[in-house]
Amino acid sequence: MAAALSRAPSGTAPRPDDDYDYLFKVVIIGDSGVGKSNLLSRFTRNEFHLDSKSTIGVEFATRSISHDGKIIKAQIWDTGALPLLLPLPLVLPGQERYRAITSAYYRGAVGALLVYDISKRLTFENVERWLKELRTHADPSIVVMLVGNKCDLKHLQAVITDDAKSFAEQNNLAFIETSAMDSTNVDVAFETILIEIYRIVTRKTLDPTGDNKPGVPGGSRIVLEPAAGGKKKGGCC
Amino acid sequence: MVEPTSAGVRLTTLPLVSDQVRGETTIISVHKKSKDVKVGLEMGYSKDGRWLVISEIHPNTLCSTFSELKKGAKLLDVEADGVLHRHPSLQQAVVLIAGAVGDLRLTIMPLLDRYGFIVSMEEFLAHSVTRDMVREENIQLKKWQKRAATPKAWQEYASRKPDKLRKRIREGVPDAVRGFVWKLLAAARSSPEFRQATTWHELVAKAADIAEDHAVQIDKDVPRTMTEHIYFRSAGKTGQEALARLLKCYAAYHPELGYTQGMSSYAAVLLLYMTEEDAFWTFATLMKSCGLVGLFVDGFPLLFHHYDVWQQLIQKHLPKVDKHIKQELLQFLGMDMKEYNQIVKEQSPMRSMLPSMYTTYWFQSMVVGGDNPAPSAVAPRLMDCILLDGHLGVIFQFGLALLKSHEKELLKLRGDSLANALRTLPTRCGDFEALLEKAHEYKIADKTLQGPME
Repeated sequence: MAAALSRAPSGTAPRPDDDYDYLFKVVIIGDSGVGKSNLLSRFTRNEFHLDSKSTIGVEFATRSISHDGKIIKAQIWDTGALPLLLPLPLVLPGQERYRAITSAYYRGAVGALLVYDISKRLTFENVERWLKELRTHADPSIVVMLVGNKCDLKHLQAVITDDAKSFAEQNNLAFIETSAMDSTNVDVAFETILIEIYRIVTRKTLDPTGDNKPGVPGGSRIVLEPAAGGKKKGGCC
Repeated sequence: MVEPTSAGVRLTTLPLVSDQVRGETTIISVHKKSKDVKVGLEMGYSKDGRWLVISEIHPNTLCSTFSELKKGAKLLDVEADGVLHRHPSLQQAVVLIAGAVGDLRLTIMPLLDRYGFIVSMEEFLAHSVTRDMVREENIQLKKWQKRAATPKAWQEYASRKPDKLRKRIREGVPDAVRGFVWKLLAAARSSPEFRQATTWHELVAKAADIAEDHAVQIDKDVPRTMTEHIYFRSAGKTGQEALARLLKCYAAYHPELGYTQGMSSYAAVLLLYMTEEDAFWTFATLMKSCGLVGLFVDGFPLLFHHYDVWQQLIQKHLPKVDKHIKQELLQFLGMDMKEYNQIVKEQSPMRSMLPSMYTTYWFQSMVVGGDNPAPSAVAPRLMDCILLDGHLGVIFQFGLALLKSHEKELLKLRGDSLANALRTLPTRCGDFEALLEKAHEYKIADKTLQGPME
């Protein structure tokens, strides 16, 4: 499916920034240090920073892809340390006071990449807690993809691919292993989730207000069905 | 579109082997899968012919992600296929690097500015120091040494000429006396009892027992804090160890807070100029006596207060930009103006959505942390003022001057481009000396900056 995609018009005649058919807001969440910011920068700017900083506040970027003759623009939000706008009960470990993300941050999000680090077991164990947070704060129909990042560190692998895969299946999540460092599957991950959202959006009748740009965060919220079945995407390595 | 680094190639930075090379060098390890894989370095000799220096790094090659590898870095050793070659000649280095398959280790001395920050050749040349400048600096330094000769002399000067002191500090405290001056400024803000409750050594002992989640987060953040400075560059080395120790001691000292991301930036700046113990107490003074804890404790009361202050300041000083930002970013956030005005009127916490998009790390990490930091070299200058003022006024001033200097550009941008420009603005602050000078023209009343707590 992803193979049929082409990169957003970046070549000869770029369409203006605000020229798109669909705008989808996707959030990237997961434990500190799993590589969220590098996934974002790899996908949107094809950049990777070995000595990246911890994200304080939020990071966001956009990139468009074309699919099915349409331009899909993704507005991607990466949380490092987003302060609580609406405090949650402190139940999670780690950088809890930051992790408890706000409803504001999830506002209008139609997709989420839930990232763990394949070389750090704990980051995978925390996935369940992140899911709980998503269920509490995001739109119940948000499309979620479980992403095992840093798959270039195969020799340090601490999370077995099949474990993650079956966890994803049980929880109706799509699943993929990526490496922001060597680019493996990064585009595929984003494109897959965007296309999944597109599929759901175009199948449903949306937006009774008649806004012809569905998926614009805010005002008109799209109603998504829960992602049907875990998509089976193999690990990369 | 340039192809990304080919799959399967791993790049790692290794910790230094201390007895082998000096602290100012860095080993870069590149894994080459085959002879066809390009490393992307061009080398030449320095003008005096003594050093093999890197003259060009090609983007998107195996070397392009190493930030130490900048033009002007000195290539000291090359280890190819497990064999170490000390100070190779140009010809030798080229043959070794091109022919290696497997692990290739380059020992380099990065190009540093006079403060120890890793810089590019352009930055290096732009800030090179002339003899006249040094002469002038030495005159100033002598005066500072007199002012800060003893705590008593300092107190006298500070109480006799407070305005002059403020002016001098805003011009920048000379590096040679900076740590000492910071200590004096911090002492003026804390009561004598402050340090009596516990000792540094007690805290060091307690640091091992801090809550595990805080310890884990500290260990994650330390290797990614102020790594442009050579002191914090290498894993497991003195700088990173000191920073981790300071933060863990603070978590032991103030267990209800522990550690929150962003705190490491404040601590790192202090460690550049102070001993660990002094840096710790100065840090504790900032947190407790100056109230910066409010930026980091649950609920972030001071941060939210700062968001509101920022919104007032930008509206007052840069009304055009403010209006434009509101218009464009609200659309980006999918909110209309009516809704936003209602939110502001009701004092809903959602009102902070707008400033939180680009100012959070200004406050929580002194603009020098986060993904889009201002050059670290500005941090000591900001810290001079923060310790003098006891609040983050200078960050607001810096922010206003920064937006002002890019006003025309910002007014032309729309939607995402504007959001993106605002978020990355501190990385493009240009000549920060000039910017700081402009920054101090904005007057902000002390009382507006006091947080809602303590």
